[in-house]
Amino acid sequence: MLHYQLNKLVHEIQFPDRRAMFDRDPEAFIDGFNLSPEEFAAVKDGDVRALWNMGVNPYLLRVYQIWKGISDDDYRAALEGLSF
Amino acid sequence: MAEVVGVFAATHTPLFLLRHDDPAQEVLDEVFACYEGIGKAMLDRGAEVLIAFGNDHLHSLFLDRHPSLAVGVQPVFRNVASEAYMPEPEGGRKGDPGLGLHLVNELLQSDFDPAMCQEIELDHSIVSPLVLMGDPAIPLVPILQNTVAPPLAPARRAYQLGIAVRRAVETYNKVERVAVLATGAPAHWIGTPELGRIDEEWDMSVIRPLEAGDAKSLTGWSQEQIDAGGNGGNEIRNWIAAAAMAGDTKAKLLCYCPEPKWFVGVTVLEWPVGPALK
Repeated sequence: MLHYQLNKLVHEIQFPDRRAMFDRDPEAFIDGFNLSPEEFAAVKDGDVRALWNMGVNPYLLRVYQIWKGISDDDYRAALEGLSF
Repeated sequence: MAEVVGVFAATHTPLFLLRHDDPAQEVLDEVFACYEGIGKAMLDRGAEVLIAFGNDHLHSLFLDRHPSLAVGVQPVFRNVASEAYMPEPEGGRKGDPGLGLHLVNELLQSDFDPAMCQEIELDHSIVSPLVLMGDPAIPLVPILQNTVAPPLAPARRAYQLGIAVRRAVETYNKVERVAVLATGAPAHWIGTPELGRIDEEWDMSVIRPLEAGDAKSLTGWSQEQIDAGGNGGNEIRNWIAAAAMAGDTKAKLLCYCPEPKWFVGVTVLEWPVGPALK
């Protein structure tokens, strides 16, 4: 219901130092978070629709979107049919 | 007792400072002039402290221990590390611990439960309007309401907050003149499927009551009514607090500029300062 660990991971990688750690070794970085394989895959692969459905806070998703270089049009397309 | 010398509201967005896709020059000229104007007004009126009603966007505060209401009482504020594009004066922006601590105490006496914060950082909520205002060197006391991590306090709480902060300011004797800036809003959607949507009708359904001196009517809005303005629309709590602080007087709309490139109808308001509400 809370999806805390997933939100925590997405929150952490907004900070330059932790983002660098994640980039260097994603699997080592997420070791400290209790993520399921599906959650890890969604974060690593840029699957914003899955992250939305998994309950990531939209403000964190915005930072994530920009980090992954996903355009606004592609972001809206990925969330097509969903609503706030 | 300190006097409130100006009460303003102004939209915030990182896009004011991330200049990779600017709106038309006429829009920049109109909006930037408006923000510069309110910054100048605060300085002209001799404001010694700026109370900023804002909201963190999960940059400085997080879900691990998220406060519904937070007051920054520290002597210096730095920018959040995750918004490196934001300008910062040398050494950070000054706070006012004296007023900050006084506000916390008075809020507790007024039956609020503020989190007293001594090491928060500022995100674009407060920094983006300040920069456009010319970054006036007026010490800050940020008062942050939760608008980002549901469940959120009802809108009436923001109105009560404004009344309580006004009362607190008027019992403080270490400064004479205090300015107020509420940031954020109106309708916008960030990180949601509706990203970039603007809703002028929703915006006016908030702005018109403020112009009529009836922020009180917004306190009856349900969470669903507020959410109809997007996750960003929840920032009207900052405006409601400012309106109540001014005495729920008739706000003057200084600027309303719906701009698709900024994802929002940029709004700047000023309330004349009337008698304090009880």
